[in-house]
Amino acid sequence: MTAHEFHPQVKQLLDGELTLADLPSELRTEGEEALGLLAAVDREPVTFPGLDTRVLSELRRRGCSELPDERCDLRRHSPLQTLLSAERRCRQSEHQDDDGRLHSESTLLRRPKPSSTAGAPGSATQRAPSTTNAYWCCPAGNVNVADHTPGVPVRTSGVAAGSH
Amino acid sequence: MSGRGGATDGQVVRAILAGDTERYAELVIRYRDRYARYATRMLGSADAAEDAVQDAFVRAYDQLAQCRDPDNFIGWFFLILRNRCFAEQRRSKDVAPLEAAGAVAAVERAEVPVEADERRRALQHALLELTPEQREVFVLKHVEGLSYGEIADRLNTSVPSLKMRMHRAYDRLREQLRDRA
Repeated sequence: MTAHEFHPQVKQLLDGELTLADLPSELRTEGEEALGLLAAVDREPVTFPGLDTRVLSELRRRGCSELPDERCDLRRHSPLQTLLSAERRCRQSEHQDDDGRLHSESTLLRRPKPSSTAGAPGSATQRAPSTTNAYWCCPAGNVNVADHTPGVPVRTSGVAAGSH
Repeated sequence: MSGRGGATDGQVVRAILAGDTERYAELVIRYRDRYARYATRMLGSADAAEDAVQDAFVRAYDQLAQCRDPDNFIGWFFLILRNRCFAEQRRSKDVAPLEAAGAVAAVERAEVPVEADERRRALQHALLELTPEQREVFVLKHVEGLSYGEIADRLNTSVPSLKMRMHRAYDRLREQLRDRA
């Protein structure tokens, strides 16, 4: 044991397994020093109030930027074309439900990547047929574009099938 | 754990994986501050900690399908954040840790007496001199207030190895604090 090392019993004190009174008298001073160390621990709560907004903004931003080129080739289009294309592809789609009412759905976040582990809890929904590659993002902000494509089924993925 | 509307973490995670992606906001809001202090003490900087927590949430979203136990989302998230903190420490090893400690201390609390604040500052400096593993066990036990058993569960390790790490940390902290005195 070097001069800097606490006595094993003092370490037990620091671990909360002994009290100062449990220490032999010759270790009390060292014990008090050790407790002084713990008294200096900063346990003040820390909060990140705007974090949720930042996280969701980041997810939305990445959702669109990470689309594969063949789906969202931003290089071939002018900014206006790109915007219109993005609106068509990534819009909030409006559909009529069975009661004839309009309702809208939006998928602002790209879906999480599917699990690579078969049978992993929560992965079953990722493996539903014909949906693996069907997810799109929407650009930040809400874009309302009426979908006039007849017979388009309501999809939760936000894909407007066959409208391009 | 259940939150707004009584939905458990597992229910929210399953809903997200089923396509209701906007519900991820529930998890972010529920847990954004849970490990804010852990990350801040680990990295020695509130700004770096906020970036790390943000990045961990983004990574967790990307990898959500790999969350084997959706009801224990927060335990799984913690490991992602932990890896992120360790990576950040490796990356910024050469960044002056004293500056980082200063950044933490800069969030000074006016009501804390100067002497106590100095001791707090000195300990934060000393903590940054520990290895990340030593610092982590110290932070989880003495800042977050977890028992060795809880830490062992969280980190998937044994209590004796944690104690060994912690006891080395105690010695090193003592040495650091004496050197500064």
